[in-house]
Amino acid sequence: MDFDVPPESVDFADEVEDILTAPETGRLLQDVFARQDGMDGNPRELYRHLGDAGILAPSWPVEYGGRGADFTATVALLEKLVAHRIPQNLYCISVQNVGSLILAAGSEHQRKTLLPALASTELTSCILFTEPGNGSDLAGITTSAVREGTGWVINGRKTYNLKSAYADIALIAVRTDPQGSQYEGLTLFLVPLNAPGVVIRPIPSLANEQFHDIWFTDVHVAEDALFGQVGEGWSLITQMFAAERTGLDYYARGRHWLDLVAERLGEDGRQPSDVVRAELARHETRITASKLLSCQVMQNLQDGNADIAESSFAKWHCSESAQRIAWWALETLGPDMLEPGADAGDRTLEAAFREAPGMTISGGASEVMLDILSSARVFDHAPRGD
Amino acid sequence: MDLRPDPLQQRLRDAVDTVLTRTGELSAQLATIGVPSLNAPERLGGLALGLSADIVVNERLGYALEPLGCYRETAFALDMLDSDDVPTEHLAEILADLYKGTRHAVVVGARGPAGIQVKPGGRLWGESEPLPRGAIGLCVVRTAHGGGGEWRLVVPEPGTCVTESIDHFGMPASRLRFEGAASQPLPVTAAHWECALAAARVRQAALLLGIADRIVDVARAHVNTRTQSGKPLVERQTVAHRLALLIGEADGWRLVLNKTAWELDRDDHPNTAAVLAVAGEHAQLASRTALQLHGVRGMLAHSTAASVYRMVAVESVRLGTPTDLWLEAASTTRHLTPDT
Repeated sequence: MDFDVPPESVDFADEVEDILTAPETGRLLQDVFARQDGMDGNPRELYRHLGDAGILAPSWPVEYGGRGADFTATVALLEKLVAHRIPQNLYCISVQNVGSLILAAGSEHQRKTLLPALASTELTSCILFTEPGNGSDLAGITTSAVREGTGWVINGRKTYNLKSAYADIALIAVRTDPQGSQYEGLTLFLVPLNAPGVVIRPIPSLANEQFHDIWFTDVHVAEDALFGQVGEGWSLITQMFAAERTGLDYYARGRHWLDLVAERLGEDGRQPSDVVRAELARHETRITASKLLSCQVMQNLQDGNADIAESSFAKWHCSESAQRIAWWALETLGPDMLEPGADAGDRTLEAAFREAPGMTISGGASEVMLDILSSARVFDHAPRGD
Repeated sequence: MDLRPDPLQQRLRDAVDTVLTRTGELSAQLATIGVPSLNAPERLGGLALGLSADIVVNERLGYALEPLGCYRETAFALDMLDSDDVPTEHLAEILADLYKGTRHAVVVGARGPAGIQVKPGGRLWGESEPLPRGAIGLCVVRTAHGGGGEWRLVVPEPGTCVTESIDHFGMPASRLRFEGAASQPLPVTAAHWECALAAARVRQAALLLGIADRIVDVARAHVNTRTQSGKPLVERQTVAHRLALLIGEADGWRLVLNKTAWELDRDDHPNTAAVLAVAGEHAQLASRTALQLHGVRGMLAHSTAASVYRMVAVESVRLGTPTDLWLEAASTTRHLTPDT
């Protein structure tokens, strides 16, 4: 094994650092923190500023708006974004998840038209899979798409989705064959969220980021909104999960939170107790393992060797590590951690504590991740009745 | 960055696995593929392939449930001798035997000054801690002299150095009794000691992760075949998830282990106390979980689960308890060191 980071990625990290510490970035970041929209705080202008610098999709090919860089550049980018408190969820959903799926499975027309726009964040996307009656059990999807003329008509409701209010388009999973099997009848579409019949309503969350309810009532979309083939949705979703569940964003948050806790522990020349210091060393070692597991997934993705079990466990590990750090912060720092800082952006650890429970739920619940790993590596045979 | 095992690691793994299928004395068999000389210091006639290779050997020994402590003790002792200040010309014959696997070396007092006293003329008196069993040809001893301990080199002689075979928590071991053994001072700087100890910890961590992998495999096979209420135990989520966690966590710790070995090979100073602590704790959890999942069968004296339970108990604290190691790790964690 070789743990050296290529010099190109080191240079890229320096470039990102310069951009993130520029005054304009700071100004735009404060605008997000001000939350003038009464919701999460709109990051679009900040993203466009970063997108103009061409740093948001380093591992994509140059012709699609990327830099053709090694996966370690993406790792460096996420670490920097989180360390500089740049809101990263919309970016991760739009570029890392939807964009990467388009790169891997989209048509050449979709790649050429959508990827450069996503990389620059002129266009952003959310993902609409979850529904009210079935949660994240995608086999139960009831939102439908029916052919009409040369296009499709979509009806149904999606819920508990993040960042939908700030997205231009949505990758949506719908049922196109109600008579088919639970899996074969699913199809993906890329739907403009400003289409007539789309209604988005925010739902307050324990964490800083709100959820959304999205209604689709007779929403007409053209044939080119279809992503992949009709009935191919399940296999594409599985492919996306393998790419989405790198755990990288969870790791980066855990890493940042641990740095903040350590900083607070050492404030004013304080010397933490042996117990606290030993716990810090434990978290430090564990978050290192999280990073390496995430890197392993990303390397395999880069090499075309995606493995859903490997990525599911990386997601489990990174989210659990970050969650433990957020909870440990309260246990260790006590009520001080809950005190507001000078501005909303300084309350990172308090926000982390509220965000922590959701980390092992969203993007694949921990129990489901362990089920996938069990099927691949614990069972000698598939469970009966499966 | 490339997180796939490199070709050398893969070849070494295959070679060790092949040796482990043979009958005959394991140390001598390993010598036929160049272990331990492959990883011994160049100054002492070895090839110094480094820890990235050495961890493969130890992981496979662990997986085979052949701890072969004398192999790691020899490597540890050779690292202690790897200094221009230590004359080793007179040890040529012993070194040759070490590389043939017919004798091995030990480090006495690795966890702290042993109860060994230095008497006038450099004669040693006292007893060692439990050591791996085997033909001991060379001892590096930390004596109680001077409070902080002083390192000395002993070539055991029958009249003044007695090796007793003992049982250490059900595992074969030996104890050295020094009865006026001749010794010579061994100039070991703090930096040299830390370097040798770091390498020893990484080897031990590799062994523990290998043992853990094996007992998880044993438990996995058991829960796939043992039925209860008409279905295999593995179909219960509480069972499957426990094993899935151990398998996945091991993947993470193995990467940390490889990174640590890689850094040591480049003369960095990684936190080796932490990597041994996680390996020890992981092996303990794996052995305890396996025993639980085997039920009463696991409690039978000669079951694999019981044997591994004993083996892990001994090996997971050999170079320090996880509790002590975490405290030491805390002192070197980058967040809490003065230069960060």
